[in-house]
Amino acid sequence: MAKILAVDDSASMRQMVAFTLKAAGHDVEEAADGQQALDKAKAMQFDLVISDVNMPVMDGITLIRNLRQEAAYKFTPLLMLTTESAPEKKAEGKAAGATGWIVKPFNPDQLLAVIKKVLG
Amino acid sequence: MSIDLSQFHNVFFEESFENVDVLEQGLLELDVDNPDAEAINTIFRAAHSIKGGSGTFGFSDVADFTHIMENLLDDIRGGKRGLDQDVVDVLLGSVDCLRMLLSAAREGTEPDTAVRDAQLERLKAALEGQTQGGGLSEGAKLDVQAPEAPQGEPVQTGWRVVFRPLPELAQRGNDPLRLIRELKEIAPVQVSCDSSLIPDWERYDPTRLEMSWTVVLEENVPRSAIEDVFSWVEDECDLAIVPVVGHAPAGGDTSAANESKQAVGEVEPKGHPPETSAEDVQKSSAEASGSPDPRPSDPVGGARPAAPKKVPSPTTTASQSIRVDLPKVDALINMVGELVITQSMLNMLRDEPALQGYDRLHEGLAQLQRQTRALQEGVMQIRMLPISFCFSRFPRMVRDLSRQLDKDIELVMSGENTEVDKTVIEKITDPLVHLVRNSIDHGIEQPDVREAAGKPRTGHVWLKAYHQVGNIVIEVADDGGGLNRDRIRQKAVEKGLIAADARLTDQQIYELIFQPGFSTQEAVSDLSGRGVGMDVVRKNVQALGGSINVESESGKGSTFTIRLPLTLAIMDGQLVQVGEETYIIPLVSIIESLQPSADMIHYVGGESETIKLRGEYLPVVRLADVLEVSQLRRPKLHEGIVVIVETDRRRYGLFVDDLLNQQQIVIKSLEDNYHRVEGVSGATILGDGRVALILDVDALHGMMAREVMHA
Amino acid sequence: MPEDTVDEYLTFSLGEEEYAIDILRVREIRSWEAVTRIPFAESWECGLVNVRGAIVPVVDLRRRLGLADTTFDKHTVVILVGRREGERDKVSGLVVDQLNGVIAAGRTAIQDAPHFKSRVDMRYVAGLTESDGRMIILLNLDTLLNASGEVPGTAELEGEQA
Repeated sequence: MAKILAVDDSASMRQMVAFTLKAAGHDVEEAADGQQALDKAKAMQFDLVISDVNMPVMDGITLIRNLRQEAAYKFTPLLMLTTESAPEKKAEGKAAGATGWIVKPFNPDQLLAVIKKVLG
Repeated sequence: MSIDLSQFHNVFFEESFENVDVLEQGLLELDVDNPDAEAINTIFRAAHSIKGGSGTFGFSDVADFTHIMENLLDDIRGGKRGLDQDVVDVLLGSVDCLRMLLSAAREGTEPDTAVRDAQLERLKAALEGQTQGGGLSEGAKLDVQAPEAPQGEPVQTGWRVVFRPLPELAQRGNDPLRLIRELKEIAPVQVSCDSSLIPDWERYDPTRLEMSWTVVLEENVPRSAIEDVFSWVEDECDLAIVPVVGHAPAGGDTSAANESKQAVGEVEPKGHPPETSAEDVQKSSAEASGSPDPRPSDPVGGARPAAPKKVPSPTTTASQSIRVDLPKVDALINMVGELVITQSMLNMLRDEPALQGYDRLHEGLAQLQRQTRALQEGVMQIRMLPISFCFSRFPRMVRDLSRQLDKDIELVMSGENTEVDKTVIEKITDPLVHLVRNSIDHGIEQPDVREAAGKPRTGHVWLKAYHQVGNIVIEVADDGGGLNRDRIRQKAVEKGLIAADARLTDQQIYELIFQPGFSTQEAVSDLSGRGVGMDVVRKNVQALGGSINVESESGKGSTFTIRLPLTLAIMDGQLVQVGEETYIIPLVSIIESLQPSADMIHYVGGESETIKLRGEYLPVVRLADVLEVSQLRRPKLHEGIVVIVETDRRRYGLFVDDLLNQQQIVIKSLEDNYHRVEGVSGATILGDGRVALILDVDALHGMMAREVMHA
Repeated sequence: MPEDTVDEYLTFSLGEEEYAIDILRVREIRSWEAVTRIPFAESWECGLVNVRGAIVPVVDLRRRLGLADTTFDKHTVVILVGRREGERDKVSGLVVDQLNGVIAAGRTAIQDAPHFKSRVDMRYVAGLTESDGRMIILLNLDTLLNASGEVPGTAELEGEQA
């Protein structure tokens, strides 16, 4: 099972993601903004990072850009949680180095399906 | 898994009602005759989101209903069925029903099942309507193009996906094998990998992916399912998704992969040959992402006789096209042209002191500029046709002529899918016919002559088209005897075009064939036609704003290269000031602009002004002199600007007082109400409503040369 | 007495004299606006204006008729008239000092030009007529708008040879 970092400023969303992933047997850490996530990621190696885009302190795109510059995260799947109403965020995220996205709203099954694909 | 999702219900309903609004709005704004792919996508996504959410949160009534809607929308999105007002009506009715179902789910009440079932029936009828082919093309303007099949009804048996990741793809955490695995989940696949792109071990970088894959899906799954697999990486790879078509269902042992090469060529008018070029692949990926491909069905756009309509077989994903009268398109182009003028007028206001500090206004203006340009490009795109409409005549012509002349000639064409404005195609055909005839007639030698010269008996004529920064380039090449330099020179002397002792480079001699009245063939051949020479070809090309060059090597052959603007109506221009006048120089002709320092200026024979630029002496043409613009005082060269322009291998400087802004201009003809003016190729209307003339830099040089001679 | 055919004419002034052109040729009346100079144009061709996106040449009628120059201002009027050139209908602008109005004149009331002495180049005059005691010069637009001053069809049309 994989080590996953779930990043979201909304506690309910973060909890839903974490809860779902844990229920599927993954090891999940949580962070409430990009900076917190970056600190955690540097302290510990994750197999996958799932991050919201709009967050205080450091947004998800900046987080992804920073992570991608870390040697340890050069090939790590970094997923962002986006909404269909902001398609430009996808392109922005891709440019920053995101692997892909999960479109909100999603349900636990969709989330798990994507995670399964990414982790192989 | 037992996760209590009720905490998310409120969010779900809020979002779903928003999505219902999006659906409704989108459907209302949808232009049935000319549906915008993005608009359809938006509508589809809204339905898709509702379906996804309602499924998750257990509102199966909503989910089941939306599922049917989504299927119908997916068919429309994938081009499987046309769009007409009836379908939109059914979908709008479904929106009302969906709203009712959502309300019931939120209130926890029973939905009105009678209403729902009735609407479901309508949806299903609409869905089945297309599978039976009934009521689809009939009456609707959408004309679904069915591929021409030699025999039997073509049936799509699957898809051929050519996937070439950018080397950096893995560095975004994506894995090509994961993508192929996902394809495998959709349908049985045959995968082949092209590793020829992997560099030598010395230069091999394991973090870079330098290979491509071809995956044949042996089942006709929805195109969207394949696109979904690649959605994360669509900008990080070259992707082509083309239908595999067979004439029998993919039963038995017929491998779809084996069929694909031949069949794909037949079904795709554009053709995606097995050796798909990067450009083609990218184009396909644009198609794959859902943008409509306006592919008119014939060169005349509407003149096709009312042949019996082919009902597309249900599994064929044919491209869709609308036939529109050309005047309508041109009216639209004109209107956009006016919009460009209005936009540039607004843009001029940006620098008004009174309007400083209004950031949102400035942002809006910048946005308007981008959008106007995009709109214009989109509209011009409607007039674009593949040049195959012109090329298609040549195989037959080459065959007939070579038989007539007892020559053995193979015609090799490439880039037939290169798109260019319809008018350009119409007007370039005659010059091309002339060039190809010339190659066959004068270029390629008799087989015995070739053999004696150590060349294969079979001669080649190449016809190539490709895009190059805003231009289309068309090459007509042959591996014949090449131009006869001495013969051309002799003829030019006889005709008084050059002095007997003129010192000319080979290139300058070759260029002489474009001079009026020049023809080297003594016995005028009935093939190339009497009196129509290369000068007419050049004139026709120049009339389209293009240029033609020749390269030739004795014994090896000749290449004629024609460069043409992609569209005729619009170009980027540099505004320049001369005295009180504003003129426009086409940006494509400009190499650079500079204010010469005194030491760059030289006088040839004490008279003609030249500037020395990086070791090269360039003649300078004073625009005020050639165009007879009155000036209070004749400025010195270092007081103004020299615009270095290039035409047909000639470089010279155009001296102007000042450079103004650059802008996109709409080209208007002077001949509509006036007549041609030497040195001027057309006119445009500036942002302030004034008329400005567009300079013909090629003609201006000739005018100056004459002036010098007469001086 | 045989029935006379009556045509309508638009009348305008240039200096002291009053002129008229066939009203059927008139497309539009505009006020004077700055023109764009045309290189190598005749002295009487003032330049080009934008008429709703079309590029239209404007003729200085005073110069064309050999009258003294005057300054143009916003009261100056440009009459857009149609002309036929080869296969195409084209439009030109005529700059005049002032519009007077429309008159009706029977064909029998029009005298031949040579009977009247005027400063105006007679090639451009189609005839003379009277209205309320005023002498009005009817202009021949076909010769007037043609560079050579000849009737189109007999003269070479500059730059129009295909």
